[in-house]
Amino acid sequence: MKLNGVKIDDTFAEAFPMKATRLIITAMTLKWAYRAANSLTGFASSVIACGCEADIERELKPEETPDGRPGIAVIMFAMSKAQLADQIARRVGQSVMTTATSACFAGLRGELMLPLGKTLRYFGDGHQIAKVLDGVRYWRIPVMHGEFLCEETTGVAPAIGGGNFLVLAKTSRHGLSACEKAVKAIRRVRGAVTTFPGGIVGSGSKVGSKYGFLQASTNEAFCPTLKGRVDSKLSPEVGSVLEIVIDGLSESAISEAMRAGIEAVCSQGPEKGIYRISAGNFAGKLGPYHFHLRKILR
Amino acid sequence: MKPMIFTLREKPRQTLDLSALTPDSLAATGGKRRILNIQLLLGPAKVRLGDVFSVSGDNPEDIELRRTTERVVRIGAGMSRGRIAVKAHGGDELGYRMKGGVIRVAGDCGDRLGCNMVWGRVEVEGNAGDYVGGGAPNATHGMKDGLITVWGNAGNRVGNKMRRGMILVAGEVADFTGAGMIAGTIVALGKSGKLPGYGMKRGSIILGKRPGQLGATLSDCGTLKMEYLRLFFKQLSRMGSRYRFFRDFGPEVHLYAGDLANGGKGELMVLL
Repeated sequence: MKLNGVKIDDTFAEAFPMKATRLIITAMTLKWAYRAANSLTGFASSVIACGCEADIERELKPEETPDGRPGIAVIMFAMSKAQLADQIARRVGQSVMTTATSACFAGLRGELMLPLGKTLRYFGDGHQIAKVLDGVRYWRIPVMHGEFLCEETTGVAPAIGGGNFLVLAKTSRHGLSACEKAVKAIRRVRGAVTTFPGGIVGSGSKVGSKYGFLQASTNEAFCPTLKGRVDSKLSPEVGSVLEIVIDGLSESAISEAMRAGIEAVCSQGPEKGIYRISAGNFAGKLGPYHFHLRKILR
Repeated sequence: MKPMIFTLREKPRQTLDLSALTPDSLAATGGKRRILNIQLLLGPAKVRLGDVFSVSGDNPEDIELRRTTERVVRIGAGMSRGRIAVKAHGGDELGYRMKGGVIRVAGDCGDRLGCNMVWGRVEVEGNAGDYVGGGAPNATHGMKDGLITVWGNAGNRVGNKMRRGMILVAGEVADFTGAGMIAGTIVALGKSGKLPGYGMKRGSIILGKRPGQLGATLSDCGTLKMEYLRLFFKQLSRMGSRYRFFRDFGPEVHLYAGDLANGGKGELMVLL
């Protein structure tokens, strides 16, 4: 199968179950909402060592936010509810509450809720005030800029992490230019995010390592500098491989994001140095969700 | 199914207790014949419901009361579901200890509207008397939760010792609004009488106009932007078309903390 002259491998991306929540961060201006969101999603590329994966989903207009101010929707993913709860408290407490004029609300509601303001309220040192509006409890925590307003809990949803595709390009410059287009296209899909820096992974990994203490190590089959020395999956003309990893709130969100991303990459074509699209899978060792590239693009 | 319409045959000379006339009790009673035999208290005497009301309709979850006067008491007392529409006067202690459902009153109400209410919604088109959302005379606290809206004016001691929930008065309130308030929110958009927040422990009183007299134990915190009010007014504006005007309300207030004689954790905000 080829898309605009770019070969699509007959393979699949292998993804795994996660737990996720969506947070809505608002502030006096969109700039300051971004400051808070960027801080919260910083160092949240992979659960391997960051504790969670998180990224900005989209900007929110004032009419879309609970307090009528400009906002940002952020999605956070973790391997378990406990891990997610821990990361929410740390990241909202240290990144959002500390941002001037910010407030934080739940972007998901469901049967299972995790503490949000419920743990952060103690920062108010006894001066915090709870208010229940329309059945939802909010905490007003007095802070130096005024009040930090925070919903008591946020909902948890089953989610999927690790949807991915690999872009096999002539050079890093070609690959990066195509991947930037892909990330832009993926941003338009609701419920899906790319948690790595700029949405692009420069050092894709495989599960395990020759070193017992490592959970993940370099994916040598796709390293261009190892061609000829390992069982490489790269042809001679490929000089750089970049990966786009997608986490989502549903299988359909990931499929849609992968389709949008691959189509954006392939629009560059071989004349702009894009030769092949592949995907990372580990023969079913990693997770139960399989996203077949050719099926997604059909 | 049509709403059950109860029309008062003649004006009662003594108080007529309608606490047995709720969606819960009607559904539990069964057929119309049994409903006509429900015992009501007229003063100290028991009377058959069928003797004081003419009844039509068949949906006990949707009740309409017509030609009621200020002599009726405890409409919707203890109800947990359904709707009651009062087309005339709501009487005293309307919504007494109600746990859910909705009561709408087209006319005025007497004293102790939503007395010791636990949950649910009460909306009064006209005026209400004293102790809106307060407690019964021997109670340690007033309403525990729910929403009371009075589109007209309300009397003294609105939200007296209220524990939680919200009272919204679109018109004027008399003296001692939120006296002894434990928590919750009172919004009064019109003129306010003397000493709002007197003895309040916690909770929020939001006034549309500066009150006639403020207590000496309320501390002036100056003019502030309360960001919480953006959320509060936006949520209020979504409660229905009549509440939409709250979209235009801003967070700027003159804030008072109090009552310092009772812990001082309450707040009185006068909208600017």
